[in-house]
Amino acid sequence: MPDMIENQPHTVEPILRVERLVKQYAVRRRTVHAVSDVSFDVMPGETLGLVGESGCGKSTVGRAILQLPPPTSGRVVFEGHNLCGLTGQALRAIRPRLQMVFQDPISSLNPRRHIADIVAAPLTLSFGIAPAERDRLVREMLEAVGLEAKTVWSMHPHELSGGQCQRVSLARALILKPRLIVCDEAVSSLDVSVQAQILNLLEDMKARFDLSLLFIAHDLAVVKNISDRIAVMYLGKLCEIAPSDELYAGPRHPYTKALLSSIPSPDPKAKGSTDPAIEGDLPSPFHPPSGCRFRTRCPRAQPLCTQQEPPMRVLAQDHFTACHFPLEAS
Amino acid sequence: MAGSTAADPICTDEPLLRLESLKVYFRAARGLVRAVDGVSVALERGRTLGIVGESGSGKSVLARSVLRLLPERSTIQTGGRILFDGQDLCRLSESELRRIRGRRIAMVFQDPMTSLNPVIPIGRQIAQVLKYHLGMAPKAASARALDLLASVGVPSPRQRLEEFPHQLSGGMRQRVMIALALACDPELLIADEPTTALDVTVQAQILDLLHRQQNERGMTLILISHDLGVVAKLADRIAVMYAGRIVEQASAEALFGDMRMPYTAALFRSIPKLANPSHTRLEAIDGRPPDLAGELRGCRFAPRCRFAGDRCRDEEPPLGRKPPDHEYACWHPMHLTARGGNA
Ligand SMILES: Nc1ncnc2c1ncn2[C@@H]1O[C@H](COP(=O)(O)OP(=O)(O)OP(=O)(O)O)[C@@H](O)[C@H]1O
Ligand SMILES: Nc1ncnc2c1ncn2[C@@H]1O[C@H](COP(=O)(O)OP(=O)(O)O)[C@@H](O)[C@H]1O
Ligand code: SF4
Ligand code: SF4
Ligand SMILES: [Mg+2]
Ligand SMILES: [Mg+2]
Repeated sequence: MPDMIENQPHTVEPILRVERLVKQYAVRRRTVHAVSDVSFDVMPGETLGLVGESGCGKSTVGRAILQLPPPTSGRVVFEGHNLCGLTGQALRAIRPRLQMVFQDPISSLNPRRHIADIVAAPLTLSFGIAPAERDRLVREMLEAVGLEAKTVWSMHPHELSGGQCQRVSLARALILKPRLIVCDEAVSSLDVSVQAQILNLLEDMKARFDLSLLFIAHDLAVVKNISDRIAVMYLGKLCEIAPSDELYAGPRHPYTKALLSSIPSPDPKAKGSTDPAIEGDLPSPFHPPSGCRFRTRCPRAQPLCTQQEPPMRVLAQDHFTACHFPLEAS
Repeated sequence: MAGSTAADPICTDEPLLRLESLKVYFRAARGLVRAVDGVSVALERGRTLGIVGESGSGKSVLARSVLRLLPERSTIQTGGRILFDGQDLCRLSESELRRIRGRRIAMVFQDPMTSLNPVIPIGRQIAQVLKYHLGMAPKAASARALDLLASVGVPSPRQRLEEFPHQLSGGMRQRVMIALALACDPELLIADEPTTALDVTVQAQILDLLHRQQNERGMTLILISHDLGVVAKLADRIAVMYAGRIVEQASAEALFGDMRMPYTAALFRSIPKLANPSHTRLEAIDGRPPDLAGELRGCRFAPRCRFAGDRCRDEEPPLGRKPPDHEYACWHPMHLTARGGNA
């Protein structure tokens, strides 16, 4: 652990504070508990990674932050304003400062429009802007994301590669100079080589435009690379939040540990261990287990885990874990 | 581990599968697509070959061409041989091939949904394969289907027999696909991105399953993936594909220990490594692979290669060889010219 000087109270306000977020969906008179009581902060200039298995609720959290659709309960405080309960007009006023980038690069862009119009679209929504100024901004954004404005200006999305489409999505998200971008699996469908290009680009854009990111992905090596802190989700709940390097070096929640051991390593020396770290499937989100939601697959589970939900506790500085029997610090 | 088990089958000298200068082209609107353009590779019994490469490099076409599962009208195989257990599959009639497909050589695809029949319960699908290939009686086939489902780790297999593919999770469906592929005890299993659509945790389960089944059955495996990590886990030998060609191949140890072809090294370096601290700058490969319908001259990687010289752009690089069996296609192989670390 670093020295004590670091140990001063946070004076900086978070840019985003998510408090007790709950999202339920009604499906044929049954309730899907997609997100159940999730709280976290994103600090200015910070990248917070959000990881977990498919269906654990990552995208639901991301969309609920943008009120697309609004959460069932809880608060989403962005730059000091609670977005929950805001009406269309008030939400639209915030929208320029809060953007989202999606996974599927090609289908998230309108196929019939020119690239320049796609990137300019957010401008027309917010206020009247002179055509020349509009074009200048679009050109600036396209060049910023590493596309040659002249070449792609009048192209359609299907004429571009997946990586180029993802650059276009990013240019579109950046044009209103947002403070926070929610990236939902923004590099997941790309080849490793292109993925590296986009990850580098995100880091550059973050520095250049003074951005904060909520980076949702299931690839743990990718998330570690880009994030300052990481939040791990399981079945609609947070298990653990910690600084990236610390989380990977010393996970305290059994689920985080299992998730980390599932990663195949491109290092033949690690070849010996093909034992899967987690057996079985994710329980149904219609009937999440009582107590700790991970208990049905947890090697450390005790009777208490069935009876009581483990509260989120701070185990080291900036390291929060929700487990009755956390792993030892390494 | 893979391949080094005591229960290795008798290693005959003749490889189970040998591709010789295989070329598979497509007639498409944009021209002649050279999807597989002169691939040679050999695979011994009981071993695992990993094939890696960016999307569009020809991995799936290569895999499907072995079983001739490509659209007949647009596909032209312009050259080469596919020798399986000594016989050239290219010369077999469709009916002769049908006796091999699914029985001696089986395949698992990336998206199990497209290869399972949506309106037939999974138990019956497996039983049908057993009846067709092995002539099993209905009762015996059903019993065997149950065993197979249990052996691939499907929980409560008896109930699952009656279920339809859409009622299963992605990981379960992939297990069923593997059960189906294993039904006739194939000698060779080709798994094309079997875990790409899955979560890391499920991916680990499926890789473990493939590995165990291979060991138990002494099966030969081709594992295709764009993820070097997945391939590193199981493969004895790794082939790197780029723009329709194998640009480097070696034993897994030799490849990771001494990458010769700049593309292999670049591919490896572009992967974020867990061992590195956060915010480590990634070494991306600029640009993208060439259009396989266009004119391809010299080294196909040259437009993206940091080390490309004039010769690279004009002349096709010859195949370099490092004993015993490390091959690479490059004019200026790494290491030999001491260009700094390989990893
Ligand atoms: N519109 C909806 N109606 C009903 N259920 C939904 C809806 N959207 C999501 N869910 C359910 O909520 C849960 C969380 O879904 P979500 O899409 O947030 O998962 P995720 O973590 O993003 O998964 P992935 O990694 O596959 O993208 C799942 O059980 C899902 O089936
Ligand atoms: N049926 C087809 N007709 C024309 N081109 C095809 C066909 N199938 C594949 N291709 C082309 O062949 C090349 C290799 O494809 P594929 O083997 O699927 O790549 P991958 O390495 O991603 O599996 C690509 O350029 C692809 O567009
Ligand atoms: S609370 Fe219990 S079941 Fe949950 S992760 Fe901790 S030990 Fe496992
Ligand atoms: S032949 Fe030339 S261009 Fe091709 S990989 Fe080698 S150095 Fe690079
Ligand atoms: Mg999602
Ligand atoms: Mg493919």
